[in-house]
Amino acid sequence: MTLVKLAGGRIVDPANGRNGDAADLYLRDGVIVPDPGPGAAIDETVDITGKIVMAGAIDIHSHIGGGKINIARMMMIEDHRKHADAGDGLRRSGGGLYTPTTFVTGYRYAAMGYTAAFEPAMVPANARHAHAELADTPMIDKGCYAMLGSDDFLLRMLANGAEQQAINDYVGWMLQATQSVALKVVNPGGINAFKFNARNLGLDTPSPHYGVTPRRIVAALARAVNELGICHPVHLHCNDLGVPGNWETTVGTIDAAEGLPLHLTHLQFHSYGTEGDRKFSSAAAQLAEVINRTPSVSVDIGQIIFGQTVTASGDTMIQYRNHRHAHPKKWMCMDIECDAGCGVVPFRYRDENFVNALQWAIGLELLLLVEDPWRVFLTTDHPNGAPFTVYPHLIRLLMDRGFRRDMLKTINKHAAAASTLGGIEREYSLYEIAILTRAAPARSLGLLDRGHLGVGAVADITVYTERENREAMFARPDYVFKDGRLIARNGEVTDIVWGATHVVRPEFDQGIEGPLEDYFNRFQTVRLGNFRVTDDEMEDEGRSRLVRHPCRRTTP
Amino acid sequence: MAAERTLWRDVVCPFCGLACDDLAIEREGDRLSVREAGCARSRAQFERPQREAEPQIDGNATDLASAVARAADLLQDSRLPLFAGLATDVDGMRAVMQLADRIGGVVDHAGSDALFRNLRILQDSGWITTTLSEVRNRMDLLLIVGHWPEEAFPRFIERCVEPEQTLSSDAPLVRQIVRVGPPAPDGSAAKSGPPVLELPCAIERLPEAVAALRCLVNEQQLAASEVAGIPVAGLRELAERLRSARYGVIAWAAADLTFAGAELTVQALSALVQDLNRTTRCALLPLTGTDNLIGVNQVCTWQSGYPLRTGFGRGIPEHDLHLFSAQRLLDTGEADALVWISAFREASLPVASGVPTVVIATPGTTWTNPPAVFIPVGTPGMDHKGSLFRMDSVVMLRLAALRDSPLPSVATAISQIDAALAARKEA
Ligand code: SF4
Ligand SMILES: [Zn+2]
Repeated sequence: MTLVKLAGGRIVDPANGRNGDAADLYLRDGVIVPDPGPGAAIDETVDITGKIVMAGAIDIHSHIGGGKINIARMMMIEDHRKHADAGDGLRRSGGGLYTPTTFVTGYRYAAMGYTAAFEPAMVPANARHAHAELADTPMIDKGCYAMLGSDDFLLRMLANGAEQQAINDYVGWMLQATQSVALKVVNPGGINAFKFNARNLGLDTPSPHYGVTPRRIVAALARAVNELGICHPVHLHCNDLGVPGNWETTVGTIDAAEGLPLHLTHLQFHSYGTEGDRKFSSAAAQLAEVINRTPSVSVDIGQIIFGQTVTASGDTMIQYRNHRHAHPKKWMCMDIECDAGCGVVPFRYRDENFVNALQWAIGLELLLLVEDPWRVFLTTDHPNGAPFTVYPHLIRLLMDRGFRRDMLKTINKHAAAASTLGGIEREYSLYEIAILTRAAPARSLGLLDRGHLGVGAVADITVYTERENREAMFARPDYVFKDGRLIARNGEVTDIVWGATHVVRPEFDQGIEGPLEDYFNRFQTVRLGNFRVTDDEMEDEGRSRLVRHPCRRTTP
Repeated sequence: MAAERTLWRDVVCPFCGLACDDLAIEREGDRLSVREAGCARSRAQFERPQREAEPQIDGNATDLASAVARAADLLQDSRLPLFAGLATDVDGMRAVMQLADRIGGVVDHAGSDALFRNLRILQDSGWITTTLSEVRNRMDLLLIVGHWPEEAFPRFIERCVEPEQTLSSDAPLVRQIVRVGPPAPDGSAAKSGPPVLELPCAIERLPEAVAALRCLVNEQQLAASEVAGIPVAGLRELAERLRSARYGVIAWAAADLTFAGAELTVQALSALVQDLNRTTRCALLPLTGTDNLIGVNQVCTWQSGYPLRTGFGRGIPEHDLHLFSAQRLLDTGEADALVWISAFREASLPVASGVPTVVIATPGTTWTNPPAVFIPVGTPGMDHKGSLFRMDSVVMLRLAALRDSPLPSVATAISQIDAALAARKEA
């Protein structure tokens, strides 16, 4: 097979402790191989002298496919009228800025140097659909997080005092049946409670009908993930999203995990206090302090960037409450299959609006105040905070204090005054950005051969010309390689490839299928065997090669 | 020698939007028989004999390669090719989208008129909806607007309204059922099944009835004693029931709402449900999805960003529910080639259009004038595997191949035409 040499780049590879040393990289058969030594036949040499080389970036939380996203596309046809991309023989046509079509999603990520993105809220009943969309998403690797925590099966188990072992088996079965790579929990118990007409659910409030508290759900699922040995911790969207004062719920939720690993997603939306005239304030400093001293917790941010977008969430309770903020005035909610739900509410973040401006500042405060870059990931919760295409801009905000302060001057002045952002000196280094966007998400998800540039790593590689304007630098990488193939040049897609789908395969007692089958037969409108998404159908079209990640059980 | 017998269990039925997945079907040779579950329609479709069929050009038998080549000729010469009917599985639609994108075609499903009566409301104001298992387990009041669903969705009542057990109780849940719509032809209410409070009303007068109901739900006074032929007392009683229900569901088949401005009635139902959710729970359930209407629309949307009635004539996807209606494009002659797809049921070719037509359909498809090209295809879920969406747009189900069939799938036929066109372009 061909041997490609990337000559003279500066390697920024935190997983291997490399910070900009000049070195050559060799690629063969889609992986990084050792220097073959003098005299080896090099088929192709790409001169990248002085350029910055990183692993392909990984988006750990991006709603790129499945039911609610497709509803958002259908609802927001104005997005597609404004942003249409022509096909060109190589690429399929498509479009949409904040509700991009599947093909365009892949092209844009690749053009920006991203080689993987993870759909973080797959409703199990909708799993086959989510995977079908991802099978039509080219260029990048993908994976899905299965949503549990408001499903009637689990709540019945908890209400009936099921053993932890049975819960583990159920979670293990569900991750396999839905071809998932991690477990997501959204507003634990709350989506279910909304079906019984509850409008909020506190961490210690027994849920209607089942009488199970969110705290109990978090504890049981955090333990299940841990005991099944799934690398990525419970990916948790806390109760009370967006509610002023919710930072206390967030701290309480960390306690609920009882010291087990926990990932708090789109933390920005869960970091609000009630101080000030408007009873809305930043609690970023308090939360960052808690996170800094709690090494079992990782977070991603859900940074907002001003402009029109659409929020798409499994959290029907909160989306219903927020419908009055819909812009334009339309919104939907759906109760789904005794499983979960979804809500789609278009939204325009405005820099002159106090709340929105403070949300913007809170996200940045969190990014800058959480000290350990291995435990914080760069996300906008696409499309909820902003489309993923703003990442280069966001990186500049982190790396360039002057730029950040200039931006701060343009937002609502009361919000700017209420924020500590202007006083924060920290600037991220390239090394830290590489942690945030590559090394840390790969490590958190257990992608051992991604997110770094060591020998044996998959050759997902992005090459940038270093520029003072970090936004320009990160928007248009010089070269992007996926599995060793050149797929984009100077921010333009040049070749079409199909990435893999990452899944975990925890061990569990297949005996759980007995009660599950009974449950499906008695209550569901789908049979267990038809619910399950098989390996065969995933790999049928040759587009969704499965990469199975090992799980390390911690208990027998 | 006796033909080989196989019993397939938990078979998914693709013949209406319910996509029941509990059928047991026996295969004997190439004959299929429904042994458990199912309904008259599924029996008629699964048990139809496997017909011999060869591709045709201008009514004369030919082989697949020649039919594909002739179809490619027609499409190559076309300025605006139209892909219509579109009764196909998810993979069939994927293939259609790729080809339409490449050659600048328009895509539209035979059920789009009904689809857009609903979708316009999602796009203009949004809605609160639910899915079949939620209905089955949580619903305590069902309001049907329009016809009793037995005809169009034969097992809806059995599967979603009258289960033996629900998550909330071991005994059958006590459920109220109310229907506002035209009396059944034989004058009775539901022919079988649970008792129903009937508020008889002509289909075209539903807008008035729904508007009045919304007023009453919001405790506004009505001066009239009767609306759309329904005594106001009856509507008031219904409003009261909706307000006191814990999980009401309002179901309608948009295909029934054939009067002008029907989307306004869907709009009013959506607004009614939003009103009710201020104090209790209530959700919409659009009864739809036959011939994989929902699945085809889903694929169109995730690939193009638009629902059906989308065209690629100018290189980018463009959508307009009037401009890109198949019927309009044929009536005006703007479409100069038609690819008609119908893989589920044996049907007749509904459009007698003057344009050169490629029919990709089940062998029993009939027509008055033979099309330029006919490519017989198998039925997904019988002759080949595939997948489709249920009416609620959440559940996508895998369809099995229950017998061997020499017929290609829609995806195969379309991909071959696509490949032929691509090869010509390269040459
Ligand atoms: S009700 Fe519909 S899906 Fe169910 S068996 Fe009958 S035709 Fe098939
Ligand atoms: Zn999210």
